[in-house]
Amino acid sequence: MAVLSVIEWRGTEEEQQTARTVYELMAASGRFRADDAPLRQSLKSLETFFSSQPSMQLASNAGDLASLIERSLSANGHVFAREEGDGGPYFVTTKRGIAPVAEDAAARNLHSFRSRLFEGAREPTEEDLKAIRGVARDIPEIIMTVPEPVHAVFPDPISDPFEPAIFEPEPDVEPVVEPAPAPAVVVDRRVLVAGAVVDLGADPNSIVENHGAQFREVLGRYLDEDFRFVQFGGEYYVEDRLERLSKGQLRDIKDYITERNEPLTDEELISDALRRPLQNADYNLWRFTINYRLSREKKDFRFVGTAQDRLWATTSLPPIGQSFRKVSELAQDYRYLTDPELSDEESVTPASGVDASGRLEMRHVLTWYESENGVLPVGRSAQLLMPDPLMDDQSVVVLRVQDPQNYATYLAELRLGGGNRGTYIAGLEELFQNTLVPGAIFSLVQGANSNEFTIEYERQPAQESRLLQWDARRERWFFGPVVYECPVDSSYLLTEERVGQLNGRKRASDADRRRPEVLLQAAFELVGERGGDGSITALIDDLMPVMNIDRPFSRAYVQSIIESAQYPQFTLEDPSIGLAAYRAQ
Amino acid sequence: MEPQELRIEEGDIRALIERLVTSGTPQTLDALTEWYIGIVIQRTGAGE
Repeated sequence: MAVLSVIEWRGTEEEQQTARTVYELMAASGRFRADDAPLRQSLKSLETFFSSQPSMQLASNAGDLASLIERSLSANGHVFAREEGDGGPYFVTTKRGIAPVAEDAAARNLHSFRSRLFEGAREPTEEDLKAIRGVARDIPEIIMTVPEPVHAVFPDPISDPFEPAIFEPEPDVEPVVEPAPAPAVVVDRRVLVAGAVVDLGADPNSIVENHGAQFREVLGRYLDEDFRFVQFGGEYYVEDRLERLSKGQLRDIKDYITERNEPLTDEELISDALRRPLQNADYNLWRFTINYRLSREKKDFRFVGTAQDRLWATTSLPPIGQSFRKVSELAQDYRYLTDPELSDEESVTPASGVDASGRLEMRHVLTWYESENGVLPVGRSAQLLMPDPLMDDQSVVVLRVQDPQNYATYLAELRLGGGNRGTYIAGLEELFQNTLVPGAIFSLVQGANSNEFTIEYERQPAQESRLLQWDARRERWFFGPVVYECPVDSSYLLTEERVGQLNGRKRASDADRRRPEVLLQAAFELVGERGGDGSITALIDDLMPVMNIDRPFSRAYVQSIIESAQYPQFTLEDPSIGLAAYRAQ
Repeated sequence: MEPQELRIEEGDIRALIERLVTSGTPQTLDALTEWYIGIVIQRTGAGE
């Protein structure tokens, strides 16, 4: 509206006001047009507008109104130009408030984009149009020919659906009664999956939730039999798409494990033995590949890991640890663990500590046999702490046992039993000999991974005792001073005061080791109390530490020998306190 | 009508293999089962 201030309005006050109002109306209607674009209104339109605006109060009647508008605009000829048209006079102005000159407007149009675009333009001919469409050359007749149908697709001509049908009554033919529309067919999508009825029309999520187990059973059975799929550790892939390991690669892996002399993870084998970066996008596939391919090489490799910690050893790698007894002897010694009635219930409780949620710990008193051989029995309760093997034919699971108080980590083996072999942990002799003594009380606590454990005990002020030891050179028992800082169960501590008679003696022979009644008799003679009638009485709890020197026994096992009719020399005198007696036959 | 026992079709297994290879990584049986259910639903639904 700044333009208005420079327009000089002429005429009477009423004429000036009328002219200003018309200008404002026309400027508003052309607000999106150029400043010098002509804005045109007929006198009739202006009159109609003013007549509908009583607030204008321009004139008292319509006749005066038209003449007032005409007079006002004519008086301001420098703003409004007058044109004659079919519908009466028109008034033309611009947003600048300057009446456009007809000649100037025509001249401006000559230089507009529209005029320049069509300068010299002409109507295209038929040939021009063909050239534009790219079909200037004649199209071969054969292409344009519509082939005749070989046979009539529809025997009767099909009526045009948009053409109204003509009803022609046929008196001789009975009117065909249109069949009622068939009701919507409900498709039965129920199937039987592993004995359960599943409606495949239901929500897929609910099918997965409610019947996923049945589908899983059926599919799993199928995939295990389909040679196209391979499986390792609960994961499946397509055999054809797996990389194959060359003989050279397999040799590299074997040599690397032998060189390191310990089981290695699949990650180490990929990165170190095969020299493949672990950051590659196909890492998961390579991990699966190496695990699957090595599992097929049973002659050279054996899996000793878990689902989280996939460890591989060669078949020639020696077992972890150097126990006093042979591996086969240890398994035989723990044969009693396979009999539930002879296996003791270990003390298994939820682990304490900030980050111990859901973990278990087992409290245990170390025996001489366990300390010397670096083994721990795994009975029914202890099984709860142990990792599950990943492979069906897996016999060993490698464990990582931490000794946080000495900042040390040890590899151990969970040797899985079967048949007449008991399950036990082996390879802990270095840990036991560095940290604990026979009779020590400690806890085996589950770690973050299923094959990780921690040995925990409360450190005590250093104590010194003369404890039982074996002189391997002289093959005799002797007692020597031992300093220890772990808590001990005094009944299991084989001190010189308790079992001093063993000093200078030999071990039980292999033949005696195989006869539990002979070992039990020796235990009575060692720790029992001689009665006047020639009997020897002892508490089973006192017999246990001595019984567990050359061979492992559970308390239930010892009690079963005492109560057995096969060995009448032993009797259970007082079951409430576990008092037993031995009478020489 | 009594529902029929679900038969594992070769086409379903081919679709499963294609999806497994496309994923480029080994899958658990749970994941494959979910895929398989989706494939079966799609197949039986397409026939309607």
